[in-house]
Amino acid sequence: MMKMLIKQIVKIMSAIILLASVAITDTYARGGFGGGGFGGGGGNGIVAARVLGNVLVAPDDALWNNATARSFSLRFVNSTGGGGMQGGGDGTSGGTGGTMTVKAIHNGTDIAFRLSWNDATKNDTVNGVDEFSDRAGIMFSAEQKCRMGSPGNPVNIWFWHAAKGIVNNIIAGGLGTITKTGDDNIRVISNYVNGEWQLVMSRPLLPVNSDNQVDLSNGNGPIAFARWDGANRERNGKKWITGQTSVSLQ
Amino acid sequence: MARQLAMVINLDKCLGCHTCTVACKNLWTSKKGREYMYWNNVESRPGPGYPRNWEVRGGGFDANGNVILGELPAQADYGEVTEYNYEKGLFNGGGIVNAEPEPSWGSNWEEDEGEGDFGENYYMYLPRLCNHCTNPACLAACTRNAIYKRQEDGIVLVDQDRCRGYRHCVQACPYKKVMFNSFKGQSEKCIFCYPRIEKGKPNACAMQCPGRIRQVGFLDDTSSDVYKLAVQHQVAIPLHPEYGTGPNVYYIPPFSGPSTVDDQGRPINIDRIPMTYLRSLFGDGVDAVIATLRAEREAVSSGGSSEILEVLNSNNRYSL
Ligand code: SF4
Ligand code: SF4
Repeated sequence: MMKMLIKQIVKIMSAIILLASVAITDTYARGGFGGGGFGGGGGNGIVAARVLGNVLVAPDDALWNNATARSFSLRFVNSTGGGGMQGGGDGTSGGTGGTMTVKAIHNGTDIAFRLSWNDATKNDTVNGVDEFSDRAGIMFSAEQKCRMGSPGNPVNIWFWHAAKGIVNNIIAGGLGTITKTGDDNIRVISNYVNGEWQLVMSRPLLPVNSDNQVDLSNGNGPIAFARWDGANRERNGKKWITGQTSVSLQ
Repeated sequence: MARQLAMVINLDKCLGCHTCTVACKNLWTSKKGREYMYWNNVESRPGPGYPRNWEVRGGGFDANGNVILGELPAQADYGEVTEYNYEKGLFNGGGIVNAEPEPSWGSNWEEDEGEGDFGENYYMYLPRLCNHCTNPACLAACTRNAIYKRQEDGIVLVDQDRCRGYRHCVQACPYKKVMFNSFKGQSEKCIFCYPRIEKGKPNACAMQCPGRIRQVGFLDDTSSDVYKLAVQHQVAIPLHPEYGTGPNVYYIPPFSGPSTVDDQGRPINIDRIPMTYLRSLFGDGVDAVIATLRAEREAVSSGGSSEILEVLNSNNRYSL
């Protein structure tokens, strides 16, 4: 099943790449994933500030002072109960929304995002069936209509799992299709301070494998952010999401 | 064509010895993250069972066929994982080998309680495993399509490559027979010993049962004991059919238990296990089943024969 899915996604993506290499300008010549669709430019989006040196720095590092913070309000969604599922108190939000604050920096080779959000309880261990981890993610090349991508328009997600302490590179082509690709070149530093998660995720601008990762050397968009509150048993389609934005490089 | 394996468990003969549970644990659930799991457990009923109060946590399907996400049990409802400190107890004084940490709850914790006062008190043993349901609620609730039912034998499995540990299945299974491995971050369950089945051997629990109360076979195999008991004579019935999942573990209800006694201790021909209690487990159909089983027993004791009793008393454990 999974192999078939990957095959399908890869097939579709190769088709897009083929098309893209013919149709689009130099800007996207290297961009294999998802066929672009991002208009570039700052506008309302996140601008990754150009810095010198290593960008994988702690969330409280002074380097972040170079970047302008952007805040996005978080909205509760629950696509888990689809298909006539009911009960379990799983349809309610319960947790707190608030905002997701985002900064980005790059050094010409690597890019780092700093995400921060309020969360009254730190859930970074899962010691039993009744414990859920806090999580957060960035979704790249999101389609306008279907949030988890669709078979023809896969999305690339950086998915942080507090209990595992890692970020997985994920591709998805629609609800229920997320697949770990194993391209785990996304580094992470997380901090929980005074009821706030602060998360830094960093990756080379160029994808390790253009079938599985977006090329960020010219920015990307639309992108969106999400977080899951483990204390509220949020997982899967039960989560808090931001609206869509974009990232461009200074 | 889709086939279905089934198991018949004769509750009338269960010894409550837990050999089945131990066989399963040794074979499948001794690894990390599974220490607390009993894919097969034997609970003394009436009682809270394992996990604690599983029957009132919801799950299964509603009247419209929608899957119901029940309550997620707490980890404590499965009981603590303990180890016996032999070093301390046997070699370093003390002389007593204690479980550490001292447990306060576990599978079959209330083994000897049962219900009722002296003279009319009663209990029964109920071995439980995944029912490899015809309409599995666990499968219906999984948003990842990670749970599948095999065409060739109806065994329900969790694909470990697809499971992301969301635990909707744990909520939806009304029997609470999918369990969460927090070490792996994934759900796991009884696999009906499929590697053994594929070699023509019965499940470990059925093979090891000293009471020889379990029989395994295909429901469409008219020569199999499970066919004779569950399909042909319909004296083996599922647990909680009202949950709507179509279980494929069938039970022979206890039908030859002791009678209530008078104040002189003489039996007065009233079943210790009340029919109301059996109906709460197996539905109203249990009355007819017990009537049939008793009639068969009567027939044999007055010199006749009974295919049902022959099958129930046979040494045959499987037909694969
Ligand atoms: S008993 Fe529970 S876990 Fe087993 S198949 Fe039925 S619903 Fe799924
Ligand atoms: S091994 Fe057989 S007799 Fe013993 S508890 Fe299990 S089902 Fe009952």
